[in-house]
Amino acid sequence: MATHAVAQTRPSDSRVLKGRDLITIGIFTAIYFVIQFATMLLGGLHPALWVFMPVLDGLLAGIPFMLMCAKVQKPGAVVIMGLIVALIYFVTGMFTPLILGMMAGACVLAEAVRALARWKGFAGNALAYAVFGFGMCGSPLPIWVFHDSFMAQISAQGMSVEYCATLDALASAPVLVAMLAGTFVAGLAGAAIARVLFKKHFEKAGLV
Amino acid sequence: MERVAPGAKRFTLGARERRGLVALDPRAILGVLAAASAVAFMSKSPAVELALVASVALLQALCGHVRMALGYLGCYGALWAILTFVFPNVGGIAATMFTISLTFSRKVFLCLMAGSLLVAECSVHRLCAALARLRVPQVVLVPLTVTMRYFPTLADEASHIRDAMRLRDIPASARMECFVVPLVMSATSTADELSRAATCRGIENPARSTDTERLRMRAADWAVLALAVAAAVGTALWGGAY
Amino acid sequence: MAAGGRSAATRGGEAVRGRKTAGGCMPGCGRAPAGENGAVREDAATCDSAAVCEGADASGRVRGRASAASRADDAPVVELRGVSCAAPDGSRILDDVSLSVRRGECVLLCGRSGMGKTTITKCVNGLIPQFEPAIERAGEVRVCGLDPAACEMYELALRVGSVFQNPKSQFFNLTSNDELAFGLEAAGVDAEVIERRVGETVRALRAERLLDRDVTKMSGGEKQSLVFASVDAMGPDVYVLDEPTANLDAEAARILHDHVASILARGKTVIVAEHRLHFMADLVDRALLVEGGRIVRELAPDELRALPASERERLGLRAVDPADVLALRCPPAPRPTRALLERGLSLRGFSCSRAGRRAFPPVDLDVPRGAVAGVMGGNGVGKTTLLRAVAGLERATEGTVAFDGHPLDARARRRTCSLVMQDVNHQLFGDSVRSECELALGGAASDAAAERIAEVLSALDLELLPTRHPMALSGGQKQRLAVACALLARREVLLLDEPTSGLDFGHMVDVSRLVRRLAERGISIVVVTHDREFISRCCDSVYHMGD
Repeated sequence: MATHAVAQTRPSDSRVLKGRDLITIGIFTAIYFVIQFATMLLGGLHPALWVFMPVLDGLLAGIPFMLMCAKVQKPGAVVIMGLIVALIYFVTGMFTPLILGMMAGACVLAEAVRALARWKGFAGNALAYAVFGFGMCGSPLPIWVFHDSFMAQISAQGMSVEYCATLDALASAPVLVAMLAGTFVAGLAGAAIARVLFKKHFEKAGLV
Repeated sequence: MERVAPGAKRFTLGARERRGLVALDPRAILGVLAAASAVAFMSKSPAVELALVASVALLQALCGHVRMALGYLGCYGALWAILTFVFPNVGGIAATMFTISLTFSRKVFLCLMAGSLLVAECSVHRLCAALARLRVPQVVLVPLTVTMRYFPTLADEASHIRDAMRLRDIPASARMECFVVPLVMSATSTADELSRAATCRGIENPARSTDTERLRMRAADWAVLALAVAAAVGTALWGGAY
Repeated sequence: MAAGGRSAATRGGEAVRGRKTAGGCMPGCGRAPAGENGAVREDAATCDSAAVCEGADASGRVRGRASAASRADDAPVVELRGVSCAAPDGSRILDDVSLSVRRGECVLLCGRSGMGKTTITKCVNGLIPQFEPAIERAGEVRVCGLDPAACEMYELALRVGSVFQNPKSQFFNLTSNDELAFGLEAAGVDAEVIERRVGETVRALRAERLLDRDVTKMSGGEKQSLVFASVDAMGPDVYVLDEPTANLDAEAARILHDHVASILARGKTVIVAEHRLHFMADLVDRALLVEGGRIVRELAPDELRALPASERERLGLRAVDPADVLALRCPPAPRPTRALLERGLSLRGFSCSRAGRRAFPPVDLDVPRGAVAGVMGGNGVGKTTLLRAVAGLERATEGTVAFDGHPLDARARRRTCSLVMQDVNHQLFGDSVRSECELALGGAASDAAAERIAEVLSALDLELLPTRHPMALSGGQKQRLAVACALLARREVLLLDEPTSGLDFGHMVDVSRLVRRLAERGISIVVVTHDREFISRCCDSVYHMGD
C-alpha cells in the first residue's frame, strides 16, 4: 500500500519534453521574442544599430533564455525556442533563408553546449546563450554575403559615391568580426545580468 | 432528431466566410512566402521586381484584401521614389540613416506582402494545422500556440505593471528591474498554471491531433503554388541584373 | 426539444452504459496505443451524447438530480482510501483521508484555506503525484477505475475534467471555438464528432454567447465559463472544481452555478472546493469539512444550512444561504452637497472615457478622512476603471477629484492616492520586504526611516519577515505589504480593488479589520468589491454604480 505512487519519474522519461516543458518554453519564447523584436525595430533606425543589433539583443534577452534553461533541463528546448522565433519571423515575412540557416546552426551548437554541461549549471547555459545569439547575426549578414547586390542597387538608386564608400567600410571584414565577437561577449554579459537577477530575486522568491 | 432552435448558432469548426474570389489553403500561401524569400536576394531588374510585386498584390486582391493590395502597391511606389529621387539629392543624416534599412525593406518587400496575406487569411490555429500537415511535430506546435496566445497577456501584464510603477516614485535607475521582475514572475506562474490546465485536458495525448480546420489543397492552391515556383525559377534564370 | 420526452431514468441508464465502456479500459492500459484510446472515447461519446439533455432548466435539474441519486450504482466513481500526502520537507499536507463519492453525487470540500482542500482535488485529478512528484502520496486512489498515479494524464483527462481558480491561465487558443474543441482535438476525435459534442455542450449550458469569440476580449467570468464548457465538451464523468469562483463576480458565479446544475442533471459527478458556500449550497449532496489535512466532519445540505452563524464563522466558512448574504446591507452613500469636503476625498461629476465613450456614469461621492466607502455594481459597469481614474491612471477624465478641498490633476492624484490592485503581484518590486519599504520611502536609509518602516511593518503584522522576498509571501501578506508602502509614502487616499476575492471567512475578516484600522489613521478609503459580507463588516456607506 505504502508509496507505490512515488516512483513515477521513469529515468528514461526524465529527458523527454513533456506538456509542461513545452508550455514553459512557449511562454518564455514570447518574452524573448518581444525583446528581440524591439531591438530589431531599433536596428531599422541606423545601419550601425542594425549591424550591432545582435549585440544589443544578447545583452537584453538573457533573462527569458536563462530562466527557460533553468526550468527545462532537457534537450531540445533551445532548438524549439529558436524554431518558434524563426517561424514567427518567417510567417510574417520578416525572415530570409540566411537568418534561418544561422538560427539553425546556432541552435544546434547551443544544444550541443547544453548537452556537454548536462543541461544544468550557470556556465553551460550562459555559453549556450552566447552561442544562441549568433542566430540573430543572420539579420544584418546580407550586407556582407550579398554585398555586391546591395551595393549595386544602392548605387543604381543614385546614392553618392561617398555614401557608398561609407557603407562599404561598414561592410568590411573587421566589422563582421567585431559583430560576431561582440555578440558572443554580449551574450555572456546578458547571462551575467540574468544571474544577478536570479540571485537577487528569482531564487529568493522560490522561482528556480 | 437534430432540430436547432431558430436563431441558435450551429457549431462548425474550420468554417470561414470567404472574403474574395479565391480562398487559399495556408500551405499555398506558405509556398508563395517561401518563393518570395528565395527571390528576395536574387538580382533582378526593376521591371521584374515590379512585376512580382504586382502579381502578389493581385493575389492579395483575389483573396479579398483589396485595400491591403493597394496599400502595398502604394508603399512600394513611395519606397522606390524615396530611394531613387529623394535620398540621392538630399544626402545628410536622414539619407545615411535610412538608405540601408529602406533598401533592405525593398529587398524583402515581397516577403512582407506574402506574410501579411498569410496573417490576414488564417488564424494561429489554422496556421498550426497547416504546419502539422507539413509534418511539423507537436513539440514545436504546442509551444508556438502558447507563444502566440501569451502575447496579448504579456501586453496586459506589462500595462498593469507600468501603471503600478506610475503610482510609486521609482528612481530611474531601478525602473528596468522593477518592470522586468514582476513580468517574469507572472510569466512563470502563468506557465505553471497553464501547464496544469493543459495536462488535465490531455495535451500529452500521443494520438495524432484532429485537423479541425479541414484543410484541403484545391486546384486554385496548386495553381498558386505552381506559379510561385515558376516565378522564383524564372527570376533566378532571367531576372536580369541590378 | 427533440429528446425532451425521454425519461430521466433512461438518460441515467445510458450514462451508466457509457461509463462502463470507458471503465473497460482498466489501469493496466497505461500502454494502450493512442488510437485505441480514441476509439474507446468515441464509443463513450455516443452514449454520453444521448445523455445530454437539452436546456436543463430549473425543474429539469431537480428531476435529473433525484434520478441520479436513486439509480446510483454502488461502485464509487472516486475513492480515496487512507490517503496521506507529505511535502518534501516532511510536513503532512493530507493525513489519512478516506472519501468515497458515488456516481452523480455533488460533494463540496469546505474549510479554511491551506487546510488540504486543494490537495484532495489534486489527488483526484492526478496533479499529485504526476505534476508534483516531490509530494509523496501514500494510500490508494481510484478514479473511474484508474489510479491517477499509475496511468497517463491524458487517459485521466478523458474521465476527469478540472476547472481551476484563475480564468486567465487556463486557455490555450485565441478563439473560443478552437478552445472548445481543444481537448477532443488533442485526443484525435473526428471533427464531426467534436462539432456535435461541442454543440451539445453549448446548448446544455446555454452558452451560445461563448461561440465565435476572441478569448482575449472576454471578461474573467466569460473565460471561466469557456473553460467550463471546454472541459464539458470532453464529456468527463467526474468534474473537479478547485475554487472556480474565487476570481468571479456574483453574476459570473451564478452562471457557473447553472453550469454545475446542468452537468449534475446529466448524472455527472462533481467534487468542488469552495469558500463561497452560497454559490453551491442548493446543489451539494454533502459537504465535507477539511481541517489540518483531514476530513473532520460531514454535513448534509440541511445541516449546512442550519449551521448557526457563530459556528459557521468559527469553522472559517462563508455564508451559506444567498438570502443571508443579500440581507447584509450597509447604508447607501448620501448624495453629497455641492461644496467639496474640507477633510477628505470628494468626487464631483467624475467620469472618464475610453474609446470615445464614458466608461461609467458621472460619480458624485464624498469619502471623509477616516471613512470607508464601498463601491458595488454589476459586471462591467466600470468599477475598476473608476478606481484607476481616481488614482490618475486614466487619460480622458471629466469632473473633479478633490482632496481636503483642493482639486487635484491626474499627476497630483498619482502622488496622493495609492491603489491596491486585484492582482497585487504587479505592484511589488523590491527584493525583500524591507527594500520594498525603502523603495516606498524614496530610498532614504536614515534612522528615522528605519523606525517608520519598523512601526508600519509591525502595525501590519509583517515585522517578522523583513528579509523575505515579496513574491515569497502569502496573498494576504502581499496585500498588506502593498498597504505598508502606501502608508510609508504617506498616501492619504487608499483605493482597494476586490481585496477579498477568493478569501475564506477568517481572512476576509482580517482584511476588514485591517481596513478599519487604516481608516482610523485618518485616510479616506474606497473599496470596490462584490463581497457583501465584507462590505457589511467594514464600510460606512455603499455607493452603487450604474443605478
